[in-house]
Amino acid sequence: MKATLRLWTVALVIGLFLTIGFTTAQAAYRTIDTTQLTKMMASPNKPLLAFSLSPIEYGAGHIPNSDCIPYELVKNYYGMPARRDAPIVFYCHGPG
Amino acid sequence: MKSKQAAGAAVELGYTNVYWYRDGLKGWKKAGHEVRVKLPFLNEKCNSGIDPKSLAKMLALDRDVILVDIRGVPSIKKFGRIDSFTIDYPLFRLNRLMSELPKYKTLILYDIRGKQAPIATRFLKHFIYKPERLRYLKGGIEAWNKAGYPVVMEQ
Repeated sequence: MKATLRLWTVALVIGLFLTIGFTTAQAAYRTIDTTQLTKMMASPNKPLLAFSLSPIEYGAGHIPNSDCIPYELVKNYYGMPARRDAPIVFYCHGPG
Repeated sequence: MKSKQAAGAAVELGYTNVYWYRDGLKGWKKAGHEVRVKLPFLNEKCNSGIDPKSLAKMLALDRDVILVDIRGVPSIKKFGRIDSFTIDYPLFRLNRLMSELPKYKTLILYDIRGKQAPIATRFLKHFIYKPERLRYLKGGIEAWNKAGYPVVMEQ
């Protein structure tokens, strides 16, 4: 009896961890590299590619077919997609 | 990294399909892909930099000098401000609101590390300002702090 109870507790804890892990993974953004980005941009469900620095820096150089959505404006910018499941990729100058 | 923060903000808004392109514009260029430049003059050389020592001297002598702080709020809270008359113009608004800047004063732009201020300086020079009226602080507020000049911290 005791052994079964212990087994159930262990199963419950593992289950709880898995659920938490899954929800946090779902809630976060995913990291992609150049190969993945070019593939995504060529696919029919093309994401909104957003440059997150200022319009002036956008003028100095950006990826073709990308929009300028400054980080400070993400939360109140009319250019953000209406559908919450629409794919968005954010980028800036990058490492280095 | 602003793009990382932007991705986080989009997730907070409830977007479920958000990606962060790690390599950024530099990685894109390095991989041999096309980079579009709308305003080519922004990438030209800019010799209007001024070091912290000269700036401190200027602020002490010249009353016509106005500082333009192009940083965002987090950086202002972290590093403080240079103690002199300052106009706040975050870089992401500068292209829209530049006509509000005073034209008959000497403006000195500064940012965190001196990376963004040169580009903002070139932009303003191209559209409105005479080169002699527009400078930027080399190395930004970090260089200013390092040189030991005073800053004002905000509460």
